[in-house]
Amino acid sequence: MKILVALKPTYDINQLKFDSEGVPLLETCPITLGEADKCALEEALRIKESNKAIVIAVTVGESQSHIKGIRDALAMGADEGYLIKMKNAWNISSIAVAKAIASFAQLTGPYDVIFTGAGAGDTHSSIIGPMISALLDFRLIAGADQVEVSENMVKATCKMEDGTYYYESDLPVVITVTSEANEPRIPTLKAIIRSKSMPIKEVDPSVLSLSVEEFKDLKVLKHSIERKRIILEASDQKSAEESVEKIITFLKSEGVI
Amino acid sequence: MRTKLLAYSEDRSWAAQIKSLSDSIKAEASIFLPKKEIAEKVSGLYEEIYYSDLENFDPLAYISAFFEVAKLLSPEVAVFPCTGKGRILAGLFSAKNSKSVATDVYNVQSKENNLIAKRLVYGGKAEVDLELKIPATICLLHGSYVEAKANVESRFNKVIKPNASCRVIFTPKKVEGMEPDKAEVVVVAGRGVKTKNDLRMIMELAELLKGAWSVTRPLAVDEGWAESWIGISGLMVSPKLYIGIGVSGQPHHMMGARSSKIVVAINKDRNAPIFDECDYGIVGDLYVVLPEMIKKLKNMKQK
Amino acid sequence: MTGQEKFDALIIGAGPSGLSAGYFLAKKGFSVAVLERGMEVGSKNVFGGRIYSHVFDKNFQGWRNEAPVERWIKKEKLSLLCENGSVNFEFERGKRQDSFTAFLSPFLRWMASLVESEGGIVATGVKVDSIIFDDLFAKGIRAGPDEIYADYVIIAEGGNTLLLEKHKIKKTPTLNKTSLGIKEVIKLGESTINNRLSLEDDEGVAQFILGQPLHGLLGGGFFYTMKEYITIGVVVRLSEFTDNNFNAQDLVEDLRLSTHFSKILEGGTPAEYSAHLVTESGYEGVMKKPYGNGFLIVGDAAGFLLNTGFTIRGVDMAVESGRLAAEAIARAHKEGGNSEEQLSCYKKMLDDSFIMKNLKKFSKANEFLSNKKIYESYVNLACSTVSDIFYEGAEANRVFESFKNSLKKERISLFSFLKDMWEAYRSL
Repeated sequence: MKILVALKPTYDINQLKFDSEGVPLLETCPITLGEADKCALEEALRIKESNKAIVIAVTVGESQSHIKGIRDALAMGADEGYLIKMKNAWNISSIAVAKAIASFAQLTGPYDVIFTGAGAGDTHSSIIGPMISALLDFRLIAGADQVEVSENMVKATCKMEDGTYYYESDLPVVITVTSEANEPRIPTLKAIIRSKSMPIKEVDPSVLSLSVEEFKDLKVLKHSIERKRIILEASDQKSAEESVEKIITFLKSEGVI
Repeated sequence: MRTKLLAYSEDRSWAAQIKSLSDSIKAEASIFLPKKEIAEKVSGLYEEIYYSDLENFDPLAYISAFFEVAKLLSPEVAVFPCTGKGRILAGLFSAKNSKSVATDVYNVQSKENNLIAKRLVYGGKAEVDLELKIPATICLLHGSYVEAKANVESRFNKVIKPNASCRVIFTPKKVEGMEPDKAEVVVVAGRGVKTKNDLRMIMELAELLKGAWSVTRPLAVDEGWAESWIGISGLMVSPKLYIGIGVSGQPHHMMGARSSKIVVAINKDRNAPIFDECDYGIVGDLYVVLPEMIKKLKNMKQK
Repeated sequence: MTGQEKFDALIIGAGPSGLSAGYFLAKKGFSVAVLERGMEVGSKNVFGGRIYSHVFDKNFQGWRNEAPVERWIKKEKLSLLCENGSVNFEFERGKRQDSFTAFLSPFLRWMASLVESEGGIVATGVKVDSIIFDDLFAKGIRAGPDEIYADYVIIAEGGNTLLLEKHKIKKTPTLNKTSLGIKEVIKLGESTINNRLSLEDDEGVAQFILGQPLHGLLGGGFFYTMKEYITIGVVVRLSEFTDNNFNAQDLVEDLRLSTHFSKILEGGTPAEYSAHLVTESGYEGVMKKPYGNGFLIVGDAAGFLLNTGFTIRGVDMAVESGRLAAEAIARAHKEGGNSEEQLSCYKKMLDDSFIMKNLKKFSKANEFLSNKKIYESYVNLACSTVSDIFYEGAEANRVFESFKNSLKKERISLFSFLKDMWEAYRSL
């Protein structure tokens, strides 16, 4: 079985700050592989351990964070790691990213399963997996919390807004995995040392016959909703009573209760 | 010539919101819905309503039915609700049929031949203005547009049911009380709530306010106290009143409640990020504040 | 495929000292792995900003073109801030570029890339649980389920010496010898920084602050210019926090909002906040024997950190100690061994280096700097003397007159002032 895992390093948005004009300070924001992406890789590695599979990790971009992401994937246990070389990876449209991964899969495949995270930590569009499925005419399991892949079938459970879906699908399939699916392994020292001697292969987008159009963000600014921010203290029973009284009055005058 | 827009929806509320977006850019809107029963509820909102006979959510079957309609109409814009399913369908559709795609969009304007969309990124902390080339696919955030009113004659068109791509078994979620995405008041429990038993207070408050209750993701996923949660990966709500109890305000959660009219926060930690984006906040122990609030509201009710 | 399980040298900690040791060993052809606890090189390092150039000029060819330098220090300032004003000493350098500001994370990533370019391994996300000792010799390390062996183990774990304490190589430092450093990084923009501080291009400011915003606590403030950012912060004895009701973050805020800085920092956006423990016990705190059978100790872990009164200086010493450790290992290796005696040459090299010379020179500083008077009375003394000199009233003051008045105001006897000045002269 041959498995592809598509990974994307993302900004840790909990640590994102903005300057006084509201422009996000991305240069000081830490970047790591998204949790859901790591879970996707973990699923692939579990299949490798039980079913014999080759696991290939790929990312679109060439920054230090992208290299580090693939290094981490190799340390976790991926057999091969690829960078699809593109400058300004953060500004490439999701359609271009999906096309790059789909053509890469055609070039290095055939694959039985393509895994990716159900949502990246920063944009959380959750559309890359479905796009790859459409481009390659693969089956699709999206947002899997539990996955079981056998020789020729995948069984998965996905929680959605209206309930829980259990799917059984044939291969080849694109599976997007949520961060609830598993506990991704932490690479051991020996695995890290071993991964250091593994090459990170680079793919030029021209090989994938892609014309990459950059995504034009007209402007990125802090999204601020005007909130009143009236904060009351309730340090003891008495102040709690007073604060609750006030809040209820406020809410009544707002007409929401 | 007017822009042609094709919407996807599974209920009337979403259909009405997308219609409102369509009206704002003076587009000519049609809609596809998976089943006849749902399609009938949308009557009067769209002139052309397409439906099929689809059962449980099978993404590839759903999108191929939608694609049949798209082939017929060649829309310049396809609009999906920004829900879990909507995102999946938007991805499937846009890869082959669009020049650009944007999720988490809350405003759309037309500009010459293209569209300018405002979308939220970084868990709703930042907004981006995007130029979308036509044909474009959009996932619209809940509550971004008011629901349009029925004012047209609808024609219903059936789309042949496509083949299934997989086997699906669906277990609908148990809804205890009102559904948060349909309620005017939503009371949410966060990490500050210590035991599952304490959720009773949350439910009691929700009931007193004639609203729904929900939780943050860790409480649903890690603790298993509820079947769904508010947040970017769960339910996106836009009630008149959101009350976060013991909710710290992580971006992925707040994103799911951003368009609430009034946000109230109760939290022990003065530095919790939720206090930066609330209208009214109480810094204090929820186990002191909440019983007090319930007591006062009960008294009010009796009067 | 099996991973390499034995190295010539294992280095615990990818700070300046560990990476320096790794680089020089790898350059000499030793197989090395530098093991870092943080998920990324530099992720655990908090650093206020200034590095001295001399070590790099001597040992890292072409570094001025490669290293991520933010600004070259052009202006040195010492400011005594008081209630009603401030006294400032400023020294402007000529063309020499003796020190620079840098963010430690990218700087260390640059050093790590040097290690890797020489064939060494830098592994992150690795928590070393213990050193393997066999027959009293360090033989390798344990990390989770793995044991990795080496002829030489270099301990470069930084100021928080958990492993040294675990293996009873070093005692736990006492509270009064430990300081807390708190730093804020504020984005201001390159042109704003240049305009407000009268700088050109990549010229920078290093400033040290004593006085009022620190509320008389044992400690000082610092201010450095980065390219687009300002780093501002305080270093205060940890014991001061247990005795007083001060919140560490408030101190930085007081400094930031003081009249002296509020204008400079206006419109800036806080981008980062961090706190870090510094053991600054000076010469006394330096390990007498930073080596043993099969192991060497480098950098902060060995106490190579200098508090000169106005600055805490460590990066240059860390890098040099790493280089010397590599030299010592090369020498011992030539002799075919890794025993304590064979590695003792490390100690001799250290004694002859600027590290120990500086530490000795400033050995009295720590004691002197524990004199609380410096932090409050003397700052006020300076301010009131100077403000008297520049008295704008009708009657002009003579300098000594002003000074005597100020001494009286601060209730300092001339004798104790002279005694402290003598101490200052001897120790700083």
